[in-house]
Amino acid sequence: MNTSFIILLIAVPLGAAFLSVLVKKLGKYFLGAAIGFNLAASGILAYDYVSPVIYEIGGFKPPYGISLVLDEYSLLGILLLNVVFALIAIMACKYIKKYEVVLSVALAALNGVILTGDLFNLFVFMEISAIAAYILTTMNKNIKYTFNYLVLGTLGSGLLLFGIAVIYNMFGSLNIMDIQNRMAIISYPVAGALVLPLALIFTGLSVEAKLLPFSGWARGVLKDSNSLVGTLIVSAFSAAVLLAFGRLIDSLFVMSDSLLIVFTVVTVGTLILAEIAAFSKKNLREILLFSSIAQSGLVVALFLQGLKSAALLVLINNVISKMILFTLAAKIGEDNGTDKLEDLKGVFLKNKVLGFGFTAAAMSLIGLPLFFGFIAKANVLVSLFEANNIWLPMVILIVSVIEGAYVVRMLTTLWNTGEEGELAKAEDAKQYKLTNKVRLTIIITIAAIAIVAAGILPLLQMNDWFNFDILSFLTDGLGGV
Amino acid sequence: MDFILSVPAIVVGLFAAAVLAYLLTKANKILGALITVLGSGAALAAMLMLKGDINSVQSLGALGFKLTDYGWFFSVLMLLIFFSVSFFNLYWMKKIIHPAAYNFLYLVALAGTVGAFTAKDFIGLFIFWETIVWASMFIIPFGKSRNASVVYYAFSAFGSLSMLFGILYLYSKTGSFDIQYVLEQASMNTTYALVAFITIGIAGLVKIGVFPFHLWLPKAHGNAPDTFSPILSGGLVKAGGFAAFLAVIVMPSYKVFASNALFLGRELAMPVPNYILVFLGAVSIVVGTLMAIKSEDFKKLIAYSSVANGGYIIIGIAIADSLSVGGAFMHMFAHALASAAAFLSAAAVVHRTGTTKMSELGGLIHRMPLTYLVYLIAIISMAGIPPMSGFISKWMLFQSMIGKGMVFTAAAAFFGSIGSFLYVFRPLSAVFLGQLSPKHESVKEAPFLMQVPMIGLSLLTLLFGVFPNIVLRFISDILKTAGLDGLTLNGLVISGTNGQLNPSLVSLIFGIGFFIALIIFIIHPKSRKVDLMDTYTASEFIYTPELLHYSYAFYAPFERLYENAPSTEKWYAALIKKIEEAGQLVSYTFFNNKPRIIVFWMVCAVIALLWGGSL
Repeated sequence: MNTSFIILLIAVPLGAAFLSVLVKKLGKYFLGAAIGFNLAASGILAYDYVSPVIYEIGGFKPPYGISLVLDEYSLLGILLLNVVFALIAIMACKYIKKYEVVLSVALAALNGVILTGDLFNLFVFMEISAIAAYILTTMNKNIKYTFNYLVLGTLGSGLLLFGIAVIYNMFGSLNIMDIQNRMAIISYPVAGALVLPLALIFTGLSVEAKLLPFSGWARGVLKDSNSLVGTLIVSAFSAAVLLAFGRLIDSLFVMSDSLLIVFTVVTVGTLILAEIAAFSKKNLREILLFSSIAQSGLVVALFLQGLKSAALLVLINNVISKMILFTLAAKIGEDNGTDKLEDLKGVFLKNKVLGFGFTAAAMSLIGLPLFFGFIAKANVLVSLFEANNIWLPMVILIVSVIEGAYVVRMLTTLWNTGEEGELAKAEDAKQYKLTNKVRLTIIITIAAIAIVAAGILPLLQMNDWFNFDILSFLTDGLGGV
Repeated sequence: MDFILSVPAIVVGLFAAAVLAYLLTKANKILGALITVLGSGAALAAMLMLKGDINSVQSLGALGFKLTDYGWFFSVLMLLIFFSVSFFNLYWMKKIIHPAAYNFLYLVALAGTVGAFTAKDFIGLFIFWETIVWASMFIIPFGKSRNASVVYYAFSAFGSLSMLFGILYLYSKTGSFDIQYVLEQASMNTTYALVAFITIGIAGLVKIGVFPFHLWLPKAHGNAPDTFSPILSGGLVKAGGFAAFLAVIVMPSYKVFASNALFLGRELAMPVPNYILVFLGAVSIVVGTLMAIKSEDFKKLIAYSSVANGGYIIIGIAIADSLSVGGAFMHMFAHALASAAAFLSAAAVVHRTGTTKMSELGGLIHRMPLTYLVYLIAIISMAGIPPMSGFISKWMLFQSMIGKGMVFTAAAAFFGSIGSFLYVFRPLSAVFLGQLSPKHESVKEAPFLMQVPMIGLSLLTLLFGVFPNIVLRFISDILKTAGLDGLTLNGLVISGTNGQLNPSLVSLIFGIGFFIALIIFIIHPKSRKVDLMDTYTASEFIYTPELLHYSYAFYAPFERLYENAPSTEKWYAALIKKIEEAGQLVSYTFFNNKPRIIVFWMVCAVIALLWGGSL
């Protein structure tokens, strides 16, 4: 296995960014090449993967240098990220112009966020990706919201940095594994001492991970965003940040019971409140952005419970289905000048293929059987029950009734014309527009088929589909090819 | 047992037929609808042929199938209803916004139904159960209301997710999904049994539409496409009976909770959980009946009557003796046939006249005599009058209630029966009897292929009313395998707790009475027919016949009695409003685009986090 591919995942997009600055005209080719390279490289890494690799940048042995960690977890992360990033870039390529540099930087930084094994390095990549996101949101032409995002994002990264500084002061190291080792041999109770840095890190990451009450920026930035910016933020950025969050929780978060409770309250509160907020919304993108906030809450809550595999399944389901849903919502909004549900009755009559893609993604999102979301949901619930947790499944199930209600309202409205009390008639859908783009249609169709296949095949192929470890599946299933 | 004729083959075949129907509908709508007829017909035939294979176990990948005797009973019933209704699909293709999707989802729902009733494992049951939910959730908005589908989904999801909770809880305790094994294990531990009873019970109550979960029936059944209402009312709600049967009889709750029974040592001793079900069933009968009497809409009226009939089924299962459970099974059978037939006759009227508003109809007996007859037989059965099958089941249920000394429940049940005369008579008189509206002078009888299933269902209703023991023998076997006593059946006679019933004899006497009445009718001089517009109106001219229709506000004095009664509908509306308001509050509080306010919340949160750590 050629380990240099690990660093190249970050270096190549970064190089593309520099070259794009120098030769602006060729920017889109550099970006395309970087995306293609990252896709290929992560594929090769997955194909050759045998056991965890620690890549030392510059050959400095950890804990002195910066190291990148490629284990099952980050492998899954880079696969997901690079695929999603590539798909979004292809689907929304008409918006890329002038933003090639930013997108290349974002790609590098997001790969870095997932791969890095160093706390300060994590901060740097988080900051770079956040800056890229700020710049991307200027595409919405509403500077006030971008400014809001900038203020909160900066505050969040400040808190993150503060927390990392406290950790460094306590353990004298920034390397995550090294800190973990030092925690094990420390004489005083770690959990008590870690309250301050953990609370700061949690808050800092929560801003980007869109947890309540730190995600005030999300609504303004996302509700009018186009299919490039919005989709990137709700799927690719969200995936990378949540993966980093999960890694830190897994390795650093030695929590006292009461701190765990407070963290859990924040995350589960996010899940409940954001689903309720989504239920009250009438615009497609607003509904989806609140749903995305809620899913982030669920993912972090599962990480806090130590259910890494279940959290990853929810994350994958959310990232893939949100990619489809948000792209189409933004497209519907752009084609028809509004994304208000009431004004879009029967819009899918104009383009049934895209409608099917949207439907499959939405049904996966609410976890209906025969779609991938059900596999994820079943895994979450089984693993929670096996951990003797009864209240969280109750919350998840009650919340999914609310979630189901607004998703079904979306689907029935978008597919059917007619006022309440009138028969749905195909003739009434004439004024809508939902243009057909070949690239978009192909990607949405393939993604939708993948969601359905990933929902049906496990039922037929795996006896323990409701209880499988995606990380070991990745090595057995892909590495063993 | 080979795979060609087996339960998984039927399920896979129906899924394949669904895809085929979708593709063919794109080419030719009628051809696609024909696939739904052939697919459901073939599946029905295959299921009937599988009668000898009861208790066989098969698997499809990780999904296991076990054909239990009660599963077979439910599957055949569902397939019969789907098959009967599918004939109407042929005529409905032009009226449905997405005909291809309709045919696809119709067969997917059927595949889900068969799968749910024959699943060996709980998780398979859940998967197919949810498949039914989402398939019908897409069909319902093709009708008159999009909101109905959301209401349907929210209620169904509440029920099925409650079941999922129970399934997974029991899995974590027993390490298995096998229905038989899990329920056996659960019955040995009161906590597990209680969880199973509540969660699976709620799924059953929601599905069958028992109070307080009855609200989705009038919404969904009343607004669904006319061809899908009979499926919902005749077919899919009966899945609730299946879930209740699992929780109460298969587990069996009446034994597990026997120690905390009310009225111990008395004839009406019964565990508390079963009493709760009986109570809810009785409330449903009363509420369903009252609301049905009040309904102005033909389809909503039948939907509310399904609520009342769901109450009978739940009571029968909850009393849990062989006569009551047998009665519940018979009632599911009889009501499925009758309500499907009633909805189909409604659909036939809509097909010919284009409306379900009762005040626009009237006198259709002159134009659609066969449809009238089908509706008449259906409502006789629903009201529980001999010689229809609905009478047999109600007789058994009444016998059981009275045998137990359950006075109040029996009173509710009798109220429901009397009330049903009031509400089933109304569409009969408003739609079929009375004077023909001049608009409908040229209306013709329903086309032949619509007549076929309507006649078929009516004949079955009559047949099992005269010879109910054909079905009851099989039901008796189900009761025996479930650990209850069998029914006492003697030739044509059914024995109850305080008497015997010979339905054939009753029918014979009825037939003789009918014959005598017919002779009197024939020899009697004919009455003069008065036209709808032939009326004294103080020398005014009349142009709108609806204004003269006597069925509007038919039971107004009666309705005034419970005008101000508390309404579950309002309660649910208020709940939804509160959730929306809470959502708006969240949105305004945390997403108001004023950084300073959000920074304030962040500071609060950080303080809370730090404070939490120091607790």
